[in-house]
Amino acid sequence: MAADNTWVSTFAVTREGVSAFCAATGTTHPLCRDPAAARAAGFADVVAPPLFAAAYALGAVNALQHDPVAGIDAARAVHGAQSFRWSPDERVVAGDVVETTARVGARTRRGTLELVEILTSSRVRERWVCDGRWTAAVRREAGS
Amino acid sequence: MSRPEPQATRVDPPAEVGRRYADASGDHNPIHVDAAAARAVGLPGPILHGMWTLAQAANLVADDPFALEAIAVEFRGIGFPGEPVEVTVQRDEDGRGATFAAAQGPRELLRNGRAALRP
Repeated sequence: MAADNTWVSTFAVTREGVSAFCAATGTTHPLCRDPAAARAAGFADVVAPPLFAAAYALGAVNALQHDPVAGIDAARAVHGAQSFRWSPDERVVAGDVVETTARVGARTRRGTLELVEILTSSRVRERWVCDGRWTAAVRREAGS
Repeated sequence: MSRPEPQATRVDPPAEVGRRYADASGDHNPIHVDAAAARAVGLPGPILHGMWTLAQAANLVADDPFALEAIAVEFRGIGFPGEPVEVTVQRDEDGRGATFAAAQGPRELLRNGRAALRP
């Protein structure tokens, strides 16, 4: 953990990684699958589909969730909700390194659950590419 | 002008979806790939990654994935890799967004899905 209660990860985007993600999720856009099409559109290599944020930002989320300092009991948590917002003009391209910071957002109680937001912000070369909100639904211990 | 009709699309999870999505995303929680690990936490068997199901909805709400401005969803019941997923998308009249949900039979997998699209 960094001194300011943030957790950081870096993720090297590769053509093979984008290709495997597209194959696993059924994403067929030529900019994501075809290096020649991506180059013809002005990119250095294939472009990651937006939902690839689930891969490149995950390291920071996992680092936060598994650090007891963050106060999330991972063994009692399930993924309750998810949102992403993307930059209108920055794309993540094979060859990029994505740096993500994660921090704990709002914590709210709903019945027997505590909903804990993990907020991520991802950048490539200091330029913002994506924010994520990963909501963990944590079963509360009896009496807590 | 009436709102466009909701469109339901059947998506069949591919063979080895859990292993393939785990390797592609880095989400290696064993409940998605290992029957014994799933049973150990009270599940009947390996379950779909919610993020895989969300990616299916994203494929269907945006013809151009790079038009996606934002997406938000709640994960509900658990999904199983051997069963088809029905994704329902209702596009906004103005083409700037859509609401969506996903289910396996009576079990909701995704609800209150919302996507915003750039023109």
